[in-house]
Amino acid sequence: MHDVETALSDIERIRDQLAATTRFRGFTPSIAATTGLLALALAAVQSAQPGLTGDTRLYFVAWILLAIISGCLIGADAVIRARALHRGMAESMINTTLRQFIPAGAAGAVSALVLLGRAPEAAWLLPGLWQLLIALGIFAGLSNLPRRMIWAAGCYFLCGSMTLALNSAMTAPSPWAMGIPFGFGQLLVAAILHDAGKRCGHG
Amino acid sequence: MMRASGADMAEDRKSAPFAYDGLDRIFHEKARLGILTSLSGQPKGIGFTELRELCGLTDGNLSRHVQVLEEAGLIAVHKGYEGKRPHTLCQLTEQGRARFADYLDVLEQVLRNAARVTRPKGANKRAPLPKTV
Repeated sequence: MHDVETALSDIERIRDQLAATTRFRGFTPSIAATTGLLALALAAVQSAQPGLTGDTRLYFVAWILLAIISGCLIGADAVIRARALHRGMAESMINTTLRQFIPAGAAGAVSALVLLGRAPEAAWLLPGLWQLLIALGIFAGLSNLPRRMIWAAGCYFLCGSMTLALNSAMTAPSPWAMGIPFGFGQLLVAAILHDAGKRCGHG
Repeated sequence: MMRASGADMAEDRKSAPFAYDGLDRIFHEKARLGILTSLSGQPKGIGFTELRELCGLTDGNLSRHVQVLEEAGLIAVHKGYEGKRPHTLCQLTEQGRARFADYLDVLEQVLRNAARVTRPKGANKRAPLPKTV
């Protein structure tokens, strides 16, 4: 039995090694684009109804709900696709991807809870902070994502820095401080995924 | 070469659980298994010399196996120069990664089935049972 167990653990190690260096194909351009369009739509609704942005908490609750919906859409689609495409490596690849993105997601959730609960006067930091965290999440996952995804990470990083700098001068949060970076950021992610899919001949 | 898809393989496993059609001969050879394992953790590929040392093969043997794997579309061979010296880089292709992962699945299944069949009758029933087909 010992030899069999050793052989099984060798196979597991080789599979993990393979998974760690294989491009994760669970993310689809259509879902990424949908989340981008949802962000632009929410920003448009909030800017058309100034009452919605007057209340800072209501403004952020709407964006947090959108982030949860987007996360669930992307996550569910990624798990289904990864299981179909990566077969034996799927679990290992899903775990690797989660390990790369969860720290950034957790940091975003904790910062929202702390700032909105304890220091709402500093909540203007959140849009820029979230964009920076998304950039860090993408940077962390670059080894398993299409090479050009570095542009999306850079874009989110630049937008986050600019949003932080510009929001400090604003009295009320602007819907477009969230809508433009997340809307166009996700559309850029979708374009990169689409291009990468075409290059390797997969949808 | 015709190759069964994952769904076909799963269907075959149900009807003939010990057929192991997924044990593709191209992978099921000691030297080629060594080459693919060496390349599996190197997304940017490995030079021919390093690969030869990792696998303990002669130049001629490695060339022959690399050619077989390249013709099957499992690895890509890039010939260039490092400074003024010729340099050959071997890299697993996307197709090679997917097919090698499928092969590992079947190999794992063979081992689990073997462990189940050869398990002594008086073996500790609390010990972790291998996954069945």
